[in-house]
Amino acid sequence: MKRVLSTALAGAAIALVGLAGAAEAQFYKGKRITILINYSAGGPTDIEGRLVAKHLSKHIPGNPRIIVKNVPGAGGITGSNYMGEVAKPDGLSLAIFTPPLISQVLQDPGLRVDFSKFVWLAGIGHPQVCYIRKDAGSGVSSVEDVLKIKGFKAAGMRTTSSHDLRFRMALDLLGADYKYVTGYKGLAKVVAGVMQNETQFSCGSVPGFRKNVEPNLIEPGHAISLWYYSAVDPKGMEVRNPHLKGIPTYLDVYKKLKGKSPSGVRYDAFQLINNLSVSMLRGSFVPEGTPDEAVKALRAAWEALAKDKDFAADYTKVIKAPPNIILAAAAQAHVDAAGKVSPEIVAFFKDLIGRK
Amino acid sequence: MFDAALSGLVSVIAWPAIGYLFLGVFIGLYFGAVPGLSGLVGMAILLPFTFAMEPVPALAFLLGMFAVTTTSDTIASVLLGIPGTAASQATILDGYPMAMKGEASRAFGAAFTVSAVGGLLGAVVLGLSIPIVKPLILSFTQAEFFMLGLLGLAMVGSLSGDSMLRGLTAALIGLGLSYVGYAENGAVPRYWLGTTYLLEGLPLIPVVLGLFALPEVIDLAVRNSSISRVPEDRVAGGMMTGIRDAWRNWWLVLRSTAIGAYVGMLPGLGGSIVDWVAYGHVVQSSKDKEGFGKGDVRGVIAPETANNAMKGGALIPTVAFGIPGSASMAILLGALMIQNMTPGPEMLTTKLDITFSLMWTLVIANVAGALLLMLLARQVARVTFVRGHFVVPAITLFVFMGAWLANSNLGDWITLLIFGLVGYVMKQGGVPRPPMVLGFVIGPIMENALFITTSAHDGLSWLGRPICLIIGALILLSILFAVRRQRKKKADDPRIVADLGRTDPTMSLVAVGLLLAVAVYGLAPTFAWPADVGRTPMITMIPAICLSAVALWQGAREVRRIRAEGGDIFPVRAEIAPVAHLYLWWIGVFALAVVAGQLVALPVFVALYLLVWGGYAWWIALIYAAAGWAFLYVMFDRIVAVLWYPSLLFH
Repeated sequence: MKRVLSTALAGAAIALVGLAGAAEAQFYKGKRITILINYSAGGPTDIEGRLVAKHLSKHIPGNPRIIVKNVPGAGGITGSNYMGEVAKPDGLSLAIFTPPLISQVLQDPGLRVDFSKFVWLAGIGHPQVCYIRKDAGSGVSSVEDVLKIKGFKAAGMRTTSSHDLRFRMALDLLGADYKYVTGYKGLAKVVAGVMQNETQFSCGSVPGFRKNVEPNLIEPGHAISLWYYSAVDPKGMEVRNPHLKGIPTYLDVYKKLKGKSPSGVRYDAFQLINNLSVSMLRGSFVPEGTPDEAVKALRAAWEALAKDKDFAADYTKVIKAPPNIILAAAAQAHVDAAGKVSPEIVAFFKDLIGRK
Repeated sequence: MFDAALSGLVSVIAWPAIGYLFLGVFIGLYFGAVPGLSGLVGMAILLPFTFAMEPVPALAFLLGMFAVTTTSDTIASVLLGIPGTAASQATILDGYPMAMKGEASRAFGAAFTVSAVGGLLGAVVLGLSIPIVKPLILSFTQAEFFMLGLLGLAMVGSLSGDSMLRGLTAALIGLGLSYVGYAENGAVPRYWLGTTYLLEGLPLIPVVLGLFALPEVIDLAVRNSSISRVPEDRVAGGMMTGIRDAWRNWWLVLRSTAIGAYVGMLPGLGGSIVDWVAYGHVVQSSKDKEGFGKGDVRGVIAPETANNAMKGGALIPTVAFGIPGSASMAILLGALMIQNMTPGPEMLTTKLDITFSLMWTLVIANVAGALLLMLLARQVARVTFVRGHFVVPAITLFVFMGAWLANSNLGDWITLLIFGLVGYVMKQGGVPRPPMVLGFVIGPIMENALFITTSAHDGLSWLGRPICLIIGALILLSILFAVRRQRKKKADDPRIVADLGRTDPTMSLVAVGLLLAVAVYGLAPTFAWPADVGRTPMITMIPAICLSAVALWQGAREVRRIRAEGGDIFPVRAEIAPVAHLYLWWIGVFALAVVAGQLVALPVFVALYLLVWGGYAWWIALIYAAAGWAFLYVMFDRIVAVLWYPSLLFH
């Protein structure tokens, strides 16, 4: 009897699982998902988003059709507002963004949505590499020279972007003498400015670094790479990137030049931004209120994508580094962390931005 | 290099690359011909199809499509006076008057011939200039870009229409319109009137269609005239005349090719100003200038050559440095990367054959596209001789869908209708519209360039850079030329404004007054904004206020003079009621779309317009409306996968 019961229970369980699967399959069968990207077509966010778009459908039960739409503007804020205010929570609008989490930390008045209210599915991380022209100031041949030259120009995109804030804090911590020039629209334009010697220093995430900086600046011998930013785990240990062997981390450089580890509010602020952008430069989410079955199917699809060899091969081919996917729980934790920044650090950021 | 050129050619003419190339050409002709669709939309739609393809076929497909959109966009520019793409605005100045004179076929013959020649030679220029490309591009920093933007505005302001004052004012207000929405350098929204819709800025295509297309539709509807004011049997020159025109002006074609290819190389700016630079060149270098703006074929030849030649040039910064010159080139860049090709020096060395295959694709696509269009053009040009009431429904359908395509937002229809009124007033009042659109397009580029330049250089030292000095001199020269030209003209003709001979003095006051009001409204909030956000609008609006105030004073003097002579100061009075009536119909289309969707609203408009305005038989209206519906369904729903408005009834 016991055996009969357990068999029946097992059978019921299987049936339930099957039903749930069927429900998910039904949910997306014959539907069309719109993947939204908060930067314009052709940029790094767009390229990654479209790569994911190409591979995601096969992991979603029902194999929905996927189309991609760009909602660029205001450093990613336009698209974020769109996801919170316009996109319907019907499981058919999915964001693959470079989420401007820093705008939330800074309480940007333009940002009218709360990132922690979205339902997060996954994220993709990227280390970032900094570089400088060899003819900057009186000449740079190694990282030590960065502190010897005066008035080199560091190129950024927006005063409130994490890209700009991070390199300004990094240079300030080292005590470098530089002039901050911002406003370039995208990393490709930044690289063009450095090629023209309009500016001399900047940083780029690994895909952009491999594709634009290395062939045009490093390999021809116009510039050298200085350091890359690593994520720091909860124990304070650096997570080194095996694909950037030969380039020191920022902490390596700091210790070498200053003889000690950095500390203080400026470093805390630096580390906050750094961890957010290294571990989750891109984030994927759906609007608040999206049906559970859709969220479940999409989260499962991202999990499958993280293990998908075809995707990894395609991704590595295009991005020049393997995908570094974090799943829903970790992504949500990162977003929540961005919502709980101490007032001291927020004040520090605001002061830094105001001092442009 | 020769080997690479040859192997590039072989890879393009091999199967399946050549098949994809021709498929791309067919699609590109369609995307160029329909206002609102463009090479950019085509690129975005086709890109995902290329993921699984080999590099050469994939790029041949995309580039074949992209190459010919500036060939077929001539159709809308000439027939309807609508710029098919930003690069064919200058074509309107003489192309549309040619259609009004019944010479649409001739304009097509000339335009398609020079598009093919320009595209072909532009690609050759691309091939030949590979060695000198790098220093050339690297010498144009943000400072030079700002100056180039100014040059573009000065050229268009002083060339379009006969009143430089009004042209420059329109250009400045165009810049002002581009500031709507989030400021790039400070996340402060400007001029957004408290509506979310405007936070993202005004959309380009509805603005352009409103300014250019709706006023022409109003003309056709209110006067029921055909586009050609001359009956078909009295037209002399056909397509062959146009082709002969093109060959007779071979020297101009060569010069315009050079302008197109080299200006096209400048990322971001090239595509928007190249037609104006070429048009300015032909006007300034011609001895007999009187015919320009009234249907001189050379005014079609120069911009049409340049805008196809530009595509070769635009490829260079994209391929060689990974700096895309336009959104379309950004997508091509994405395609290159997805094909595992790294833009950069290696595209000019080890992967030179791929770069050459791009060049050959441009050559083949340009020639094939022009030949195909010539086969069709005779039939297409006939539209110009059809009664106005019969073409109004079709054009309305195209214009409304064009405005809808980019964002699928009903706000775009409101923008369209508002700018339609603005365009009508400007047209009747003799205020040139092209400068406004150019200002609108290059405004963000100029503001950004100025912002970077002022922080990367000390003070105004950047003005002393050699290329900045040269461009500065060109700006002064083009303004001086224009002033002198206008002085000369004034001596013959005491009237200040003469826009195709029909400017309404009262409407002129209304139009200039509107510009002045916008400028004052635009200046007011700038003082309260942070410096980085408010500075550019401020230095745009102050001269705009000055220029429009002077223009208003001139206009008032003109009205007084005409009244003193006993002339009519408000000849379009009779048109106002029918225009308002037509607008009510369009608002009806809007309302019906909200209730029942566009697939119902637009065909219903088609049928009712033909019955009520046109007085056609019910069966003609029914067939026309059904054809309109089928066209919407096949071309937009099936092919472009447009997102329709979720109406109340058929959500």
